[in-house]
Amino acid sequence: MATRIYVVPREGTGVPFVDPYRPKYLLGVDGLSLVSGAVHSMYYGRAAVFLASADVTPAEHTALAANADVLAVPAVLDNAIGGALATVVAKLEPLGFPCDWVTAATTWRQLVRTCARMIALAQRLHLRGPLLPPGITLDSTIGDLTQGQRDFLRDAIESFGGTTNGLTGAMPMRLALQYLAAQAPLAPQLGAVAL
Amino acid sequence: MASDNFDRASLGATWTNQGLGGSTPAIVGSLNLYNNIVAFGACFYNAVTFANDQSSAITVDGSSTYVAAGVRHSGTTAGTTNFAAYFSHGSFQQFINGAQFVLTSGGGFAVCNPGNVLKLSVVADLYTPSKDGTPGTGTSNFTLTSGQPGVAFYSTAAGARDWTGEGDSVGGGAPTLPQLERGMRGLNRGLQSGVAA
Repeated sequence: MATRIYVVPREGTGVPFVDPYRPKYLLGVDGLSLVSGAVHSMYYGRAAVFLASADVTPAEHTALAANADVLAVPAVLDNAIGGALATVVAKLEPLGFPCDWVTAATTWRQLVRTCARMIALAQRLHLRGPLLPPGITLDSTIGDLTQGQRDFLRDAIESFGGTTNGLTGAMPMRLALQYLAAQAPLAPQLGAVAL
Repeated sequence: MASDNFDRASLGATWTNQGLGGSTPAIVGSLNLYNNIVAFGACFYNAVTFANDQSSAITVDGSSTYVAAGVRHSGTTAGTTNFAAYFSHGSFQQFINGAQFVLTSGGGFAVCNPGNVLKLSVVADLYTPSKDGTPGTGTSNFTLTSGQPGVAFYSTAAGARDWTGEGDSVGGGAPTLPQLERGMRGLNRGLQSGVAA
C-alpha cells in the first residue's frame, strides 16, 4: 500500500449524516474510507472539489486513476510533470485552479503545494463566500468583483499575514489568485503528507 | 482548563445546544452526557471564553459509535452551526453553516472505544487528534478560526463523560473547580515552605 495524492470531485449535498460533502471515491457517507487505508482531504472552499491523500493498493490506485474526473498525482512528487502537462491543465482549470504558470518542467510537488495554498485561501474565505463568486471566472478581473468581495479577499490574505498591495483592478483573477496563494501558508499538512 | 464530569441531573446553562438535527444533548442518568432525542446533535461549553488555540477531550461512553470531541464551535441554530470534530469511529469532520464535511478516515484519527480518552487540539490551522494521550498525525484546515470547545454525537447510544477543555485564556471568567484546587495546593506549598504567597 502507498500514499497517493488525488484531486477528486466533491460528492454529496452537505446534509448531515444523510449526504455529507465528501471526496468522491474516497470517503463514504458514514465517514469511513472507501479504500484500504487512511484518507485525508481538504475541500477547495465552496468549490466542488477536494485535494486528498489516500493509502491505496496498486489496484485501487489504477481504478481511481481511470476515472475521468480524477487527477492522480504520481508517487514521486519531485518528478517534473512533463508529458502530463496538457492533462493537468485540462483537469484543473475547470475546477478553478489557474494553471497558466504550470510548465512541463514544473514538479508535481510544486503543483500540489500551490493548489493546497489556493485551497487554504479558499477555506479562509469559506464562511463569507466562494473564491470565484457567481459570474466570476479565472479570466475575470479583480475589478469585476464587488467592493465587498474584494474586502473578503483582502481580509482572508491578511489573516495569513499577507497583503493585496500587488493587486490591480485590471489584473485577471488567475494572476491574482497566484499572487495571493504565494502568500498563503507554505506547507499545509494532509495527513502524513507534508506538502 | 475547564472540566465537567456531568455529575448532575441536567446539563444546565454552561453548555449551549447548537440545534443540530433538532437534537438536545442531555445528561442521561448521572456522570454521562448523551445525545438524548434524535439522530445527531452538538453542544459547546460557554462558561468561559476560549482562545483560538484550544482542545476538547472526552472519555467515550456507551456505544463507541459517533461521539466526538469538537473545537471552535459556534452558532446556535442548525443553519449556523460551525465546528471541527474528531469522531470516535476514526474520522475528522467539520460542520460549516450546518453543512457536514467528511474529511478524514483513519491515519492519526484512530478508532476510539468506550473508556478511551478522545481528544482534538487545534493550534493555528493544524488539527491534531490523540487517543489515550498518544497524539496522531494531524491535518490542516483553514476555515474556522475561533469558537468554543464542545461535544458532538450521532447516535443516541453514544455518550461522553469527563470532558475537559483547554485554552480558556481569554476574558477570564469564574475559575473552574480544578483551577481553584490547583491554586489552593500552590498556596499551601508556599505556606509550608515559608515562602510568601
